[in-house]
Formats: sequence, C-alpha cells, structure tokens
Amino acid sequence: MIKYIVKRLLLIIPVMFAVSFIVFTVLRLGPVDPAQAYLLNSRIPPTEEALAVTRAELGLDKPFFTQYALWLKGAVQLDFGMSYMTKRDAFGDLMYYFPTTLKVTFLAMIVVIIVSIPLGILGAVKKDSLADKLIKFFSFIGVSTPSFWFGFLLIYLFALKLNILPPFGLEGISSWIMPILTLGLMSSAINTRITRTSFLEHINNRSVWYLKVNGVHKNTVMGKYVLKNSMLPVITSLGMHFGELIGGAVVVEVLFALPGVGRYVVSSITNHDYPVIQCFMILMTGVFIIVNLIIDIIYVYLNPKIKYGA
Amino acid sequence: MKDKGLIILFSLLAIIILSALFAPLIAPYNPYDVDLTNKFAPVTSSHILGTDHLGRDVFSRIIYGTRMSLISVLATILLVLFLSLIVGSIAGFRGGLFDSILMRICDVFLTFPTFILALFFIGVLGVGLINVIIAIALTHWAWYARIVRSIVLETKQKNYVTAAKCSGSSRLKIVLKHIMPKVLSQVIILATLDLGHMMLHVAGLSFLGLGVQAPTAEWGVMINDAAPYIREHPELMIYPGICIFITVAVFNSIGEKLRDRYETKEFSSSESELCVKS
Amino acid sequence: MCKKLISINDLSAGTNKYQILHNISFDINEGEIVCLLGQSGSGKTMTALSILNMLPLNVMQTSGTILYDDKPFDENMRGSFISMIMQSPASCFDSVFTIGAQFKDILLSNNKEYSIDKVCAELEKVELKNPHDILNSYPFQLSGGMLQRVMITIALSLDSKIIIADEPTSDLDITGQKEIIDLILKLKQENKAVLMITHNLAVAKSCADKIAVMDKGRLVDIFNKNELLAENRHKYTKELIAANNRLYTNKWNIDLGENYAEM
Repeated sequence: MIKYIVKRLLLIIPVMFAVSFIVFTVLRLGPVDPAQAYLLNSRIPPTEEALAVTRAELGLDKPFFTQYALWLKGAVQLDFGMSYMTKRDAFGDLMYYFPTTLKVTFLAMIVVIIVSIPLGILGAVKKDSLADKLIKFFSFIGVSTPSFWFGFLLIYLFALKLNILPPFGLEGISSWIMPILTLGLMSSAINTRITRTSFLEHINNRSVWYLKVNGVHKNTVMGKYVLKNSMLPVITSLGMHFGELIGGAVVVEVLFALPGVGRYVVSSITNHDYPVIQCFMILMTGVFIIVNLIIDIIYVYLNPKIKYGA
Repeated sequence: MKDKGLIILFSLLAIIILSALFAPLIAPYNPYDVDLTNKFAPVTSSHILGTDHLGRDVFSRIIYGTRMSLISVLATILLVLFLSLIVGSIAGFRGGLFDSILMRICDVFLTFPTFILALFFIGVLGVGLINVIIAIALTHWAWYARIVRSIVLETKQKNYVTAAKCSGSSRLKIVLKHIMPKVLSQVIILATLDLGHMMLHVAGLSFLGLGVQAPTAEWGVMINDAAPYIREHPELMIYPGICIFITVAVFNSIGEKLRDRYETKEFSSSESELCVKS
Repeated sequence: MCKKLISINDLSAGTNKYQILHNISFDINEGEIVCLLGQSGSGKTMTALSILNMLPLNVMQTSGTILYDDKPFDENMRGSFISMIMQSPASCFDSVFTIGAQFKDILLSNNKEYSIDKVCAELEKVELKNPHDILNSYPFQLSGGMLQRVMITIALSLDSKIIIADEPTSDLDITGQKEIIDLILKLKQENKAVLMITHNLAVAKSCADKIAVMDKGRLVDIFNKNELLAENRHKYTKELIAANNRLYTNKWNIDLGENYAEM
C-alpha cells in the first residue's frame, strides 16, 4: 500500500512536467504572440519597434527551449511571471482568489456526496416506488439544466421574491448556499444515477443471495456488503465530478460575484494575459491531479482485488 | 416503433431541427430589429413572447437561437468524431510505438479538467463561437479516441474477423466492412449521449462572454442579456433557459434510449456466448 | 420412521404467463439425502427456491404448502433450520470482504458463537490446511474446491437441520467431485438431511438415499436408491439411465465410490 502511494506520488512529477510543457507550448502556437498580447494589455500600439523591445524585455528572443526552461525554473519556485494586465505577480494575484474557488468546489463536492449517495441508494432499495420515480425525475432534470440558468432561477426565487438569501457577493454563511446548490446540481444528478445503478447491480449478486439464504439479515447485507461493493464505482466517479465542479466554479463565481478566480481568469482569457492563464492551468490541474490521487488511494484501499493484485 | 416515448422524443427533435432549418419562415420578425419605443412589450398576439430590453421580438430570437445551438453542437461533435476516429483507429490498427505515443498524448489531455482546458484553449485562440467549438472538441476527443481504440482492438480479435481473414478478405475490406461499422455505431451512440453535455458547455462559455457575442440571437447570450432585468422581467431569462433545457433533455433521452436498445440487441446476438461463460 | 423435516404437498408455481412447477409433493426426512435429479430447466432449482421462500419476484407460488418440521415458513428458518451450499463458489463469496468476515456474519446472524479456534478446527476437518490463512483471504485468492469446502464448513457450523446443495460438484474436476461427495456423506453421519440438486445421475447414485426425478416442472418419479433399476421405473428415468450408460462406457469408467459410473 505504502509502495503504491509512493509510486503514485512520484508519478505526479512527470505528469505535471507534461502538463506544464503543453500549457507553455500551446500558448505559443496561438494566433496572438506574447509580445503582442503584452502590448495590447499595456495599451501600446504594436509597432514593429515596440514588439522588438518587448520581445527582448520578456526574453522572447531566446530559443524556445531556453524560454521554457527559464519559465519552468521560475514555476517550480512558484514564480509564474508578471500579469500583463495588472503588472503584478500572477501567482500572488491568483492565490488571493484561489481559496474561495477551492472552498466553493469542495463544499459543492460535499453536497454532491451528501445528496446523491443517499438518494441513489434509496432509489435502488425502493426500486419502482414513488420515491424512486421522484429521484429519477430529479436526476433527469439535474442532468439537463444549464447550471448558470438554475443559479438565476434561485436568485430570482430566494433573493428577489422571498428575500431570504443575499443575491450575490459574500456576506456570511447564507451567501454560500445558492452558489453551492447551483454548482452541485448537475454532479448530484449524475452521481445519483451512478449510485442507483451500481447498488442495483450488486443487490442481485450471487454473493448477496448466498448471505441472505443463510440467514444474514437484510440490513446487514444491504448496509455492509451491497454498500461497500456499490461504492467502489461511485468513488471512482467522484474524481470526474471534481473536474466538472472546479470548472463549473468559474461560472458560478461570475454568476454570484464571488471573489474567486472566475472573474479574474475570464478577463485574463479575453485579454490574452498569458502568465495568468499559465499559472491558472497549473494550479487547477495540480489540484485536480492531487484530488484524483487521493480518490485512487481510497479506491485501492477499499478494493482488495487491486490491493492483492488479483 | 412501438415505443411511445421514442415517438415523442423524435417529434420534439423534429420540431427543434425544423425550427432551426426554417427559422426565417417561422420567425415573425427579424431577431435583430431594435425598437426602443417598444421595450419589454407584454405577451400579445403580435409578440407572442413579448419583446426584450431593446424591443426585439423574443420569439423570433428564440427560433433563431435554435440554429446557433444546433450548429455549434453538431460542429463540435463532428470535429470530435473526426479527430478521435483518426487517432483511435491508427492507434488500434498500427499498435506498437505509434499506439503508445498516441495514447500518452490522450492521457495528458485527460489529466486536465474538461471545462478548465476549454477555457485554456479559448485563452489561446481568442473569444468567439468557432473557437469555442474548437476548444470543446479539443477537450473531448481524447476520451473518444481511447474508446475507438479499444473497440478496434476488441473487434480485431473477434472470431468473425479471424474468419474473414482466413477466407482471404483484404485488409482494407476487413476494416471497412467488419470493424468500422462496429466502431461507428458504438461511438455515435456515445456521442448522442454526450451532445447535451457539450451543449451545456457551449452555453456556459457563452454566458461567461467567451463564446457567441452579444447581438447574436443565441440562448446563452439571451439569458445573459436578460440578467440585469431579472427582477422586473424574469420571463425573458426563463424562455431561453427552458429551450436549452428541453434540447439537452431530448438529446440525453434519445442517447439513453439508443444505448438501451443497442445493448439489448447486442445481448441477444451474443447470448450463446454468455451461456457458455456462465 | 424418522421425523419429516420438510414436507412438500401439491406445490405449483409460475409467472403470470406460464407455469413452472406442477403439483410437486415429496418429503425429506431426518438423516436422509434426497437427490433432485433432472436436466436444466426441469424445475429443480425452482423447487429449492420455493423451499427457501426465495422465488424470483415475477414467480409466484400458486398452490400447495410446504411445512418445515410441521410449521409454516418463517424468515428465521433461513440459516438456522435450512442452510445452503451453492454451485460456482467463486462468485458466492463477496470479493471485498474476507472469507472470515463473511463466515462471522453468517454465524452471528443465526445466534451462533464465532470463535476463530473452533472455526479453524472445523476447517481442518474438511481437510483445509492453514485455516487461519483461509479466513484472512479474499475469495479470489482461493480455488473453487477450497471455497466449496468453506461453504460446507459454514453449513456444518450453522448446525441447521437440513442443507440444500445446489449442484455442489458441477464446477469441479472429477477428484474434487469425489471429495465433495464424501463430505456430503459425512453430513449425513451428523444426522443432517440433505437436499441435493444435480443433473448428474452418477452423482445422485453415489450419495442419495432417495432420488426424485423431475422433468418439465413435474416430479415424474421418486424412489429409494436400490430401486433404481426396478422394472416399474418411469419411462423418463429409464431414458436417463440409458443415456448415462452410453456416456460412461467401460473405457471411461473412473472409480468414484460404489458404482459411480455404470449401473
């Protein structure tokens, strides 16, 4: 087990290396070169002369791999260069907003887990009952609703009509409610389905039948054997949901005017603010990889088939 | 066609496609005609869904919006299929070093969270609908390429392919006649299941102002336009939202029905095989 | 005469479209091995499921009664009164829990004490070496034969009056089959009743006291083992015997206890 964890941790290094290389290279392949982007952000007309000066200033006249090596050297020390827009340290700027984004994402993740797993299990245990039909309807609605539109509906209902929640910004705990619900809706719906299907698959297992027929009580069978088995695919899917949530967080932050990376990044994207985009990609992907690593470790820990290499 | 649900779904799909194709005939007004004297007109017989903050006819904009949504989502899926079929089949058929290199590239693409990667590509390519389409295609192809590859590998080992080889069919004929139909049918079902999801991504990017730009009649843009007037005129935001919802729901349901049908068919054809196994 | 542990009277069952079991009646007595013989689809397993009251959702018992020691069925009988040994043991144990954990849950659910030493001793009785290791392993780490022995041990430890064995030998090679049959014969010595379901006449012959032959959902013939070759056997039974003799010609005769093959 420890060997596996160490192996996976070491594997992060080449993966992040590949990620950084792609991020750096692809940005250079785009139609707007960094010098031009820098001048646009500084509101200087991109004349040949100005471009040449900027290129020298940003080190863009050096060979490509030298540039990459220099950037990587800085990135390892968390120096991602200066934002073209704000002329401040890109990493520092993002780190100012990043905690809010992480908080929204993880809170939504918790909501997804709390909502979807019990609902999925309930639907499976009471298959074809009214409760199951309502749960299926919920997941059908959730999967097809655009999250930002759902957010607007929540704002209209709870903030403007009923006046019980603040429409935007961060003013205490109550202002987290709508963003988290908006963000969590789709993943909750998808995960409810996954849980339900997985639980149903295991209810009909022969091993479950064997336990039942030899007198093991239904509650033990369901609550212990079926539960653990059916949670394995659900745990794997949580990694995918985290990716969706951290992306969706950008939308939700813009919608509810939360002080997360969302707005800052959207303006960096429209303005070709490359250092910020690079730093954003490395940060988000890094978090995503780490969360998936944790999920994989939990999975291996729970699944003896992999643990004992069968 | 005994399934009632399927009939309803396909009629809804037909309505969506027809209103996209014949938007100029169906829409009573030009969706871009501004009439500031007639802002926020209520629902009347002349404006069946009223008008927006610039006095444009909401119903006409919604009809034209269907076009944008369908075009963008179809373009995305075609691009995804194009990329993934090429990469996946080359990897599956050639194997060896080629295969491992292509699959490592896919792995790298899959390490990024999808929406974040789409944001990145827009950051590179710039804002606009075409770039959104390219960005979403680039973030989805890797997953499909892996599936194409695995179907190719699986089908390659099937007995009927071996039989065709033994009876002297040419390589090209085996690929075109025995392997590609299998790959295509499975991938198209998966793509149908994914259409709705991609549409939501397109709408999300439009909402962020990175996709379709303001005056264009597009549902995401319409929701964004209506946002400042949400207190007085929530309906302006509700109409396009419902349209996105219905379209996505239709795509999802058709995808699921197709999958269920296909899987049961698959089951019955290989039933004898299953019996031996169990 | 021994006491009747299970008495099935006029049992019929079916879905709402077609009938699966037609008026089945037979008894199982204490210390007796009854073999339910028939080809796949003949209703053997459905009969066993009716006894366990575990019929699939779409199948209903349409007539008849089953009495358990003169009492009607109640949920607590599973495990304590009737236990079960199944075929393909590899898929009968849960792969994310150890064998020991499942053993423990089955015993505790039936108000039996679970002591590792006692269980290990029981496992050694069925010729399983390193019983501690077996309890700590997962099903995919053990062979089919080993798991089948564990199942028999579980049935023994439950100390239930009657054990239903559904094709316990069908996945095993011929020596494994013989060993399992020997174990089942041992159950009889402990005064347990066994209902053995099999499609294999040779297996039935080698262990049964009473053989019940089923065909197309009907109980066509029931007789004591030594009456197998009697003149008044049902036509279907005679066909089975003839088919069996064709299969096991002298060349293939493998000694499996008394007259395992040809009869």
